[in-house]
Amino acid sequence: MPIDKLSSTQRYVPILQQVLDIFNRKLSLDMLDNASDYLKFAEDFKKEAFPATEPDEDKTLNKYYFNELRSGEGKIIFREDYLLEVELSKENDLFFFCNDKFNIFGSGYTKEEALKDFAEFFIHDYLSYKKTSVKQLTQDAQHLLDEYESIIGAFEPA
Amino acid sequence: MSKLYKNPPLVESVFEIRFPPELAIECQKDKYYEQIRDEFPEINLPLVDSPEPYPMRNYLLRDNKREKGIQFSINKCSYHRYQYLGFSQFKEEALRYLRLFAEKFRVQTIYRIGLRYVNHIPILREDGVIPIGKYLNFGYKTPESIPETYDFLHTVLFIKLGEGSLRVLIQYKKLPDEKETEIIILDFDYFLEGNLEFSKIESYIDVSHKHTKQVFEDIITDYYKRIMDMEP
Repeated sequence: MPIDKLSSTQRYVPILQQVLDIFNRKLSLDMLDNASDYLKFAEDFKKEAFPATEPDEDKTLNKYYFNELRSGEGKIIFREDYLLEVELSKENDLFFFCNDKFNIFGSGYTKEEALKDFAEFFIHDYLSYKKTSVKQLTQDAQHLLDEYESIIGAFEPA
Repeated sequence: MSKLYKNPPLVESVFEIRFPPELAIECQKDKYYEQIRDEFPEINLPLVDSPEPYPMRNYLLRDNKREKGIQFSINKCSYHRYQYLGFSQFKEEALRYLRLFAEKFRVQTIYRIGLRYVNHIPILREDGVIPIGKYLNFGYKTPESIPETYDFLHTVLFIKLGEGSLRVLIQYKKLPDEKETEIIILDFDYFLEGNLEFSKIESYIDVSHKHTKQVFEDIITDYYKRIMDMEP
């Protein structure tokens, strides 16, 4: 915590701790009124006072990138120049992996479960469009299939 | 680090000098601070629970955006960059602040310099294990009875490299965030030790960067380099 945001009491807690440390070597700590409270305060204070060289952990890692996906149906390998971007979120105890472009998400109580769920949906969705005859696809579906084909380099059935 | 990646895993870069204790620093730190106050308005006090004697504990000064910082005590001074904008800029800034410090306190002899790059590579487990080979060109030579199904790993290597030594830390860590982010820490610390001259500090940082850059480029897999080139 920056020094200018500390109360005057907080500013002097480290110094107070030093004094108490020295004092404690000569006297019993019990002789000091409220000494344990001050020490507890100092203990709480030092946790946030100085993060050493560690930067703030403010980088929220939301995005993951895949060059392949696997499910029970097989493995999709994306084109060499493409990585599928998938966003991770968490609500309550559930993890979600989501791709907005293909409107697909997977969920699970662990990230591995959620990813497995996502991959199953993704691959199943692709195969469903792929197996349907072009005549039966709506224009939107045909467009989505084209999007899939533009990023998928190969599919290896299980 | 030969090129500036769009989405690098670098969370902190540090250039540090260590020198024989100089007591003037203890009582004249305000004089140094006066020269950098505008850029580093945030003062962080030394930790109270450090095992080091009080004068050896670091003050940390940071800018408002917390993109850069300076740490110092009576025997060391370091420049920290949390938002890395390339080696040229980092070097220019580090040398500027360290020279200012050295001039103020007449630091001429140093006994250690270190250039440190701390990377946090976000990973996802595969079949419950850490797929280290996906991110790093690094592994262990083990007998068949020890498969590469790592649940945790922590390796520190000290390598003699060129004029100095490189300490490499490769460690798995689960961050205490809500998303239970898992990372591989890839921490490089290239250092030179001995009777070093402050006047040669630029050549020291250059040589440190040359070796660290080469190791970084070699240890990162092509797959992860592609991720580093994605827009964040």
